[in-house]
Amino acid sequence: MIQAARSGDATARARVLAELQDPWFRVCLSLLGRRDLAREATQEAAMRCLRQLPGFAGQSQLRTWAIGIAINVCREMRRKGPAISRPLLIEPAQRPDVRAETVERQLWLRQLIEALPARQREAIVLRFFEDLSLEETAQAMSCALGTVKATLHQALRALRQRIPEPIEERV
Amino acid sequence: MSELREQLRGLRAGYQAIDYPGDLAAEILSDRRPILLYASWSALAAVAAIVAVVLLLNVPRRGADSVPMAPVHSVLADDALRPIPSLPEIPTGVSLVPPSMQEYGTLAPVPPSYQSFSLPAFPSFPTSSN
Repeated sequence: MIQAARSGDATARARVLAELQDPWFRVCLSLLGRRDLAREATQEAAMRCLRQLPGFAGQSQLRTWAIGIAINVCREMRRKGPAISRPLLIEPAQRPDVRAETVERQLWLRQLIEALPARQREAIVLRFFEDLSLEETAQAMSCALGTVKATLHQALRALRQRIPEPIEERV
Repeated sequence: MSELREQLRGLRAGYQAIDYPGDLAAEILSDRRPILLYASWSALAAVAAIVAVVLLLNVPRRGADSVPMAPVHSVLADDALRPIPSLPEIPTGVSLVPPSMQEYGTLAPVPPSYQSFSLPAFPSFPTSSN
């Protein structure tokens, strides 16, 4: 499919976009915080992806490479656009088996992630929400593996320092 | 896995529930590209028209103003600056009255020009009888 898309096959390109649209939109929404901006960033990432697809060397997964494009688009939009105060729009899972305390802690954790610096937030989103490996996270963020490790370490430490203790531990 | 990582994994369920609101392939491959193509061609045509108008408006004035003139070398310039020579002095002690004939003695008589005039003989032309 990738080879056909690289050679310009319209059906293959449509399949590539259909496969990538949800990861792109999730990443963009997590980093930009507004659905309209996330949709615009997703479309821009798709356009760039189609333009750069003939030069895709296949050294990484297509999904990782494509998420890297979306990350760059979001960075550019953050630089050009107004400051985004609440960049992460993750709703906690509404399941009957999830305790109210867990939902409360997830809400709190979400707010803490929103308050992280942009690079740390990117690393958290890619590593824990998109479930990329450390190497893939580094490729998507266009930085070295050591940089990703350090960034994740700083982000997790910041979250641990601020996250409230469980109720049973507080009592 | 630490408790924090477990909580992050717990948030992942809500994250994965987010979907793109629409059909990206249909938007990009069918709608946006012709619009962008049309917009880019329109912009190109507008720029070309503006450039043409600007060139047309500027060509006559630019021609009158900016065509370099060949340097004019005046031949008269050096002569005009040359000083006028002074007038020669009038000789003194020279009589303006013509001298009388006695001062030259007798002159040889000049024969009249008609006496020394003679025509050469006419050449003989060949005749048909010879």
